[in-house]
Amino acid sequence: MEFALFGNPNTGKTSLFNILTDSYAYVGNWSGVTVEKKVGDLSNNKGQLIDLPGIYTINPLSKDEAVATEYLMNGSFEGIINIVDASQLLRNLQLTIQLLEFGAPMIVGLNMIDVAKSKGIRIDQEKLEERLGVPIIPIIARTGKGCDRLLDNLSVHQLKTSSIKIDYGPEIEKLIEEIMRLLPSYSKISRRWLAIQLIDANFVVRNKLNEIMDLSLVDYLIKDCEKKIQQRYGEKSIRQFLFKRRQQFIQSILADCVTKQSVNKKSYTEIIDAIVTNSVFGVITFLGLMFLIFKLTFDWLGSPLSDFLDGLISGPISGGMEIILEALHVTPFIQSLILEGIIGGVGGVLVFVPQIFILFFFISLLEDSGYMSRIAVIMDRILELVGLNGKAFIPLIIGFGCNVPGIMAARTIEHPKERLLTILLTPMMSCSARLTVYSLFVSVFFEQHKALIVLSLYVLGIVVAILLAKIFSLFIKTEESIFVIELPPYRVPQVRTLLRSTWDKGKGFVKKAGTFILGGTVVIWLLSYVGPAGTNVEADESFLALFSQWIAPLFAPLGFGTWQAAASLFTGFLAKEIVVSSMNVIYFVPDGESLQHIVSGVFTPLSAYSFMVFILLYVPCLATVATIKKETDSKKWMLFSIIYGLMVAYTISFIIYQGGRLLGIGQ
Amino acid sequence: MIVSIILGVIIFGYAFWALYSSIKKSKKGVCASCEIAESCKGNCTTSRRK
Amino acid sequence: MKLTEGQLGETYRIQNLSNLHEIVQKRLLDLGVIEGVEISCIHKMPFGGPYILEVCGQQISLRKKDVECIEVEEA
Repeated sequence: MEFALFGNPNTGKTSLFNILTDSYAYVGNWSGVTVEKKVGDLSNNKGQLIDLPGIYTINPLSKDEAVATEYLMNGSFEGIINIVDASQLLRNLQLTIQLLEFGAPMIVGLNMIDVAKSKGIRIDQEKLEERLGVPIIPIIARTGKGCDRLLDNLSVHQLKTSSIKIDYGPEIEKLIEEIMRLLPSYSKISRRWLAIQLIDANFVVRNKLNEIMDLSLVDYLIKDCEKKIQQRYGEKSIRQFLFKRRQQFIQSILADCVTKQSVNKKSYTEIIDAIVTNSVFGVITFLGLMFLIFKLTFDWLGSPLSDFLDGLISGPISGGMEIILEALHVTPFIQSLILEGIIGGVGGVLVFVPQIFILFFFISLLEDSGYMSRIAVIMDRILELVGLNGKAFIPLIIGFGCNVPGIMAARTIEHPKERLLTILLTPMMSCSARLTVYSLFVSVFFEQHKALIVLSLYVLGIVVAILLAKIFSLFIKTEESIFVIELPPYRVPQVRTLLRSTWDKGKGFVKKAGTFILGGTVVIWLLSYVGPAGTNVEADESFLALFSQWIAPLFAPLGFGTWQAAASLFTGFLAKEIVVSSMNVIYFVPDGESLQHIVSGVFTPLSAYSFMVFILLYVPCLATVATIKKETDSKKWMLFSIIYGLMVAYTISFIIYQGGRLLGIGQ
Repeated sequence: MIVSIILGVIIFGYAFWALYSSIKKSKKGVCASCEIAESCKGNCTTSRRK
Repeated sequence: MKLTEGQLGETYRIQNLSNLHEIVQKRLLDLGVIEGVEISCIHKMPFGGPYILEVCGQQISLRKKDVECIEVEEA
């Protein structure tokens, strides 16, 4: 059995999905958390549940919404779970009505009954059930209350198909009948539903029907009817007329089933918003919050933990392993492989696990609290100047965790060109993999100002992205950009959700250390261990050095023209963390001297900063490049993202290094 | 010596396999970063606008 | 009058939305924002930035130029 989960954006679909299935998906308090359908096994093993992007109506505007409509038409589900926000019934039932018209067996999960109650809304559930003709289960998806009952009802009851039929008035009813007669009779989808969606100008439905029939007569009929509606009812469009008809129907239901007492207390959302979206303090609050997060990540919490791990790995673990290997009489080749390659290289990246997790914890906190969409509002004015809109900032912030989901999140942007722009800019966002490089360098060169230096890199990424947007928009002409965003009420994040979402983001990093980074590091080690003269050569004589020496002079004007830097930059294309593990391998000195010491001899603070900037801006990693290709559906844009990244990185690092030298800073 | 050979084979074998499979996975893009990729049977079929 | 000419925190009734960009209109329709509905401005971002509006029991944000296109009357 397959069940599909439909509902308005931000009504708790993904929370419900997580409770009903064994698997765990991403939750956030902003519209558009789910941009692609996700499938999970129901926890009672009775089938599968498909989580779909949130939609307001079946008629989509953006690409993520189209995914839901297409699934409704083409998917092979047996039943629908419609999740409804009890505190927003008037709006939510619009979708419910359209799903009921579709005619699939359905059950309604009446979510956020606690929020509704606090707003003074009382719902007569039995009456509502009677009027809609399908079972209704009250739930609180965030805490899981009532979800068991929902799950039981999925298996025991056969879900009901409602016999609901809305009267759209004589003109539309006549039109529906006419269109139904034109539609092919073998369609498995309700023809009345198809006709209504065609009248509503649903492009997904239209495209699908267009493949099998000629729609010119249908179009003519609709145009003709729209004129009549405009004349007789003074309505602007047929779409609005349909909406109003549905709304009248919903209002008649609500009048029967819902009572509302006005509660007159200032909600904490209003109080927080008074500060956070304050015209003066908005931007300052945002930057302050980011600074605080970095301060915690690097100074107060992260560093001591990382130092502890570092001590553990380079001390007891490395030493213990050496003793074991000696005892086993392992050849020097394998010893070097394990000690320098694996423990030195991969261990050098694992050291940063605490910092990455702390950062992810705070990103999850921001996401779950509802602050994200406020940031979009705060940033909109700036982004408007460069042909984007505030919503583009959400994918960019997601990109701080990992660029790949950031690029995916760009699907919520309605305008195709703005979406393309956002996709191209997301790689400028400093993802957590790059954090490992910053961690290494700031702890060596900027001991006093760790958080500030890292914040400056993040801000630089944003500023460069905004400037690039301006340049790109000269070539990719964006039409008038659109900005409509819903601001969900703030919620106190659930500890459980928060921890799981932190773990889910962070576990990828740990997993990558054991696979990608380990593999890459072993190859790098091998290349640095063998050379034309044989094995165990001096590092400078190795194949790696010979290859890298060719490109190294290119980086001399940026302050890091060594073959070691060139080699680690090269490997960074696979995954940015490999930059750090490569450096650990390349600079390895057997007497236990740490990478920090060596780096401080090779780089100056200025060239270190220039190097970090280069890492921030140059080629996106392999996974990001692949995602760009998939999401833009074009090799051209993929190549473009690689080339412009390199050019921008080179230019800015050059300016920083040479400018710094002229001014005599940090040498 | 035998220990060395065994260790070498295991490490290099695993490393090359890990690198190969991660590159393959990365090239697929989207799914590699998805939290429920393993249990997901949707295989990230991206729908495209025609 | 235009909604931008109104007072912050004051409630008005929407009279006309047809001057808005078509996609904005569609999205507002999705959110239940149509003629005859009550609306109020809660916050205003600086330098001609977006407005935060309260309408139909939810908060939404729109750009100033769009808010200017919303014609309202005293509720």
